[in-house]
Amino acid sequence: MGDRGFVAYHKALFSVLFRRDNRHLSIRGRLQISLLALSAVLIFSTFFLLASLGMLPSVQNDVEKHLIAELDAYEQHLHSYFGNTAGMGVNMSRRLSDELSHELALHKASIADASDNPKLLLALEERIYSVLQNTLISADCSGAFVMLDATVNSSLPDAHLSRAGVYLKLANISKHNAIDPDLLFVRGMHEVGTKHKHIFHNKWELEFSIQRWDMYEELKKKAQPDLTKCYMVTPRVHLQGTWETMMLFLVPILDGRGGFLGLCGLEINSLYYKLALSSHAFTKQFTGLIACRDGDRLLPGTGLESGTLHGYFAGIQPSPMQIERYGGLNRYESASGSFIGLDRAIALSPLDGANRWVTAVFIPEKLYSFNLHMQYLKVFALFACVLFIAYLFCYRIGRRYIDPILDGIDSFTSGASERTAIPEIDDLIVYLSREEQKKRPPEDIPPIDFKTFSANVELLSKAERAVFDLYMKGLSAPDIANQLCLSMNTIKSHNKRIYKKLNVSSRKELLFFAKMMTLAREDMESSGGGTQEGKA
Amino acid sequence: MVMFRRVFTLLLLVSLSLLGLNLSGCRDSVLDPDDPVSLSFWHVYGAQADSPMNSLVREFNQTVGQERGVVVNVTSLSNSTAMHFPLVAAAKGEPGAGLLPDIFVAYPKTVLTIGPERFADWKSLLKEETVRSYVPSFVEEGSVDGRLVMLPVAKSSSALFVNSVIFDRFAEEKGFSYDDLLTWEGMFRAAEAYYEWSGGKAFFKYDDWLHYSMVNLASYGEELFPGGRLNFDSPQFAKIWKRLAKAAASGHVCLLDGYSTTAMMTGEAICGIESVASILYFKDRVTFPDNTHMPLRLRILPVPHFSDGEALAIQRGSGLCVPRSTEKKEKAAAVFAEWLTEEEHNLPFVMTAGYLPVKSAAYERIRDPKNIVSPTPNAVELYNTVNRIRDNYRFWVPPYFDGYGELEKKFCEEQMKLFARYREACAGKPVPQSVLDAMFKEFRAVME
Repeated sequence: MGDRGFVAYHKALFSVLFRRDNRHLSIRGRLQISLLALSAVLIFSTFFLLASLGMLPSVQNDVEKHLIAELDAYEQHLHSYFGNTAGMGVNMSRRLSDELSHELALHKASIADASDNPKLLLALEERIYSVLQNTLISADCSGAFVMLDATVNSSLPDAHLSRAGVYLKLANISKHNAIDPDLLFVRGMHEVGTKHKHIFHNKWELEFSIQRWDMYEELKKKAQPDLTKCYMVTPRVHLQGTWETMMLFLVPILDGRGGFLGLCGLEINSLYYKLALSSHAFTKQFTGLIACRDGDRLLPGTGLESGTLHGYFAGIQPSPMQIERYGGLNRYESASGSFIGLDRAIALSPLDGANRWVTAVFIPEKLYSFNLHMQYLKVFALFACVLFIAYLFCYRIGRRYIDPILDGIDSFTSGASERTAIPEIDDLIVYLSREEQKKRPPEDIPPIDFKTFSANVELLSKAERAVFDLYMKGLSAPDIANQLCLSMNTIKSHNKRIYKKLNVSSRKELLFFAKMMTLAREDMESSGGGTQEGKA
Repeated sequence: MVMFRRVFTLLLLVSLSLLGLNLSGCRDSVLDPDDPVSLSFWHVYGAQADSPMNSLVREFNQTVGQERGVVVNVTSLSNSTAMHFPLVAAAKGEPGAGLLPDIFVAYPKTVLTIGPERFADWKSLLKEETVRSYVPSFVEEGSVDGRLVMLPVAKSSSALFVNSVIFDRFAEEKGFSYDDLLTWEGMFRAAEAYYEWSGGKAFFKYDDWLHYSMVNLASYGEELFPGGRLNFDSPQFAKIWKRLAKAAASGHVCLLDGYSTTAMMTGEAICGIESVASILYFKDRVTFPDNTHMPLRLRILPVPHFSDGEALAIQRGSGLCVPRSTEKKEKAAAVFAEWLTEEEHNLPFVMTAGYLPVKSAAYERIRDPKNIVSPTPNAVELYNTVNRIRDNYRFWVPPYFDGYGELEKKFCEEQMKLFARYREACAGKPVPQSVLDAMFKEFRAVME
């Protein structure tokens, strides 16, 4: 089959498929369309059956399962991280309690006596310094501090909101902190910071202000000897005048008799959290979050956010995110864009109170849609591949079964009468050949001169000519008898005379010449008989 | 069969082309908004303040970064001194040091220590006209062997910050004025007078004591480090060093570690010579040991110079560096840098952070106070002084050479130790010339 044949075939095929015109479609085209339709039905049925039996992976379920796995991993990571930090905080509180109690005992004083006593406060700050520094270096956090329940100058107007203490921070936060990191001195007496050669933080102050620290009084009230039941994690706070936002672990410090000495805490700032809680997530553009949830609103401004170890970080804005269900997932709409993910409640401390903490993971909705479309595209591509293969098979089948028939026809019409490999077709060709043989002039017809025959026709009488003309029109003897109202005997006698005058021996021979005359007449008429008439 | 194969191959090629187009999104760049590249970024702008660079990064990520497929992720924020060692450790692959960030801000000493050949050349990443729009001397400062490895983002100079609340009282009583603080002769006289007036307090602090010797020696046309060694044979160096040593041993100079800002906010000194960018870090009050406070209002002046020396102003500033990595990351860094140094982003950033702009066109704009982004009294004062420096001083770029970082550290530490020891020994008594000679000799011995 040549190129033209292939193109013509497909033109016809497309004509049928798209113009609904199947009048000129070959038998092979018809067969292929039928087979293709059958294949499509079978493929669809298989997909449908597998899908209904749950044997095909659901695209949406895949993404959901992926995010659930990410949430599980992130929650576990978070649980372990916050648990360890809480442990370090509680341990720091116990050690500080010992150090402060010893120093106060040395001075035969209580913590209340430290107020307005710069010397005692300096001694206390010096005493607690090493515990604070060691905890900061060993704990997984960005800062550590101690607030003492005392102030250096109680005569100042805001003295009731001022607390002495020491606050140290890492000077350089990175993923891999040095063994002996540089520390910044954020709060504390000038002498302490100078003695330990610390760089003073630019927002250094001598004392803490607890103006916005309701939790200070709450912790003081709820403090109990079992510190594991009275520590607290604060929602995100902002270190005034800086870019830093942070969550704080707060633990009360009690003396041996349960007296409140102050509180200590560990700081996890946003940058540290981002580095420490970076996810190993396989999901691109992954965001993990610890935040409070209020009904159908997630409050990123209350917590902290991390991205992936590859360096992706979304930078979610602190404004609330509206939550709505999205299949088995949630859709989080915010000023930062919309995200698809999940969240799950998590307890961070025994004193969470009204804060309903959740850990959330999500990806941008744009990426989610893209992933979904890619998955659909894969399924579609698979289906298209299977269909394409089916089409190729149909094409082959068409050629295998129809081509021998067409070859046989070609062979028959060209007179080659070659045999094909298919017996049924060979039988058909034999049959058709026989039929053709029947239509040929009998072999016993003498080769007479057709011109003589034509000339002899003029010798016929009027009655004989009438009979002869009706033979020429293809009528049989009985029909001629009927039409001319003659008996069969009369017709037979006419026949004898006609045979004799025309020099033929049988009616078959007569009919053969008669047909030739008819054809010759038709030829003359079609090729300009008018001109001949004109000449005549 | 041949025809069949041809058709099959054709269909396969068409399918693959369509798939390829689909996956690439028909984009002409290595960057892809649907698959953003993340750049870890270490910088030094506003570590202990409300970092204007963090705000810019946030804006970039939400706009151009989102459109082009670049996410800049600040993973360390500190000061240039604190950042130098982690960067060098990361570059050397020291245990636990982690990887070098994809983009960071560094001073020449960091780049020279790591090795300039490890950095991408900004000239090949940015358009030619972009590079041409920078102040030529800034480009020169950031280039090593003809390769621009430190892209100027913000430049700084030094200035003298004065606590005007205390100085005004002192000046009125003792007959000084701000003009006296324009020369070192006036500074040392005022320091001596202030020491007596305040009952033994230091008058000023210098953030980088090496700069005192370097700039002042340069103002006499001499180098402090000819051939990479300290110029102890220079009589001029001995003269200016001994003048400082006298003030330090007498207690007129604040010898505490750390920044001048700290000394000024704790009342340990009333003047500080530091980077113009310190403006971002000043609090508005001084806190005393009894937790009482005093307002801190600033007067900002050019750094003093010796009256017989040339008026020089140090020009310094870190640059944006990109370690060689993948084409995608380098391209992403270029997109970020291009955006960052556009005037509409760069000028608000540098003015909020107290820096000098890096493009020639921006300098005309800062002459007009109306163009100051946050026209606080301190900002107006600062940019008046910056214009004064540009008009009356010559900018001078300190030399950098192999081993500069270590030498700078040793110079400052040893000088401080020596000054502190002699101050204690002198105990407020006058310091004779013989002691100054001994100090200089001792310092030379330690440094050599």
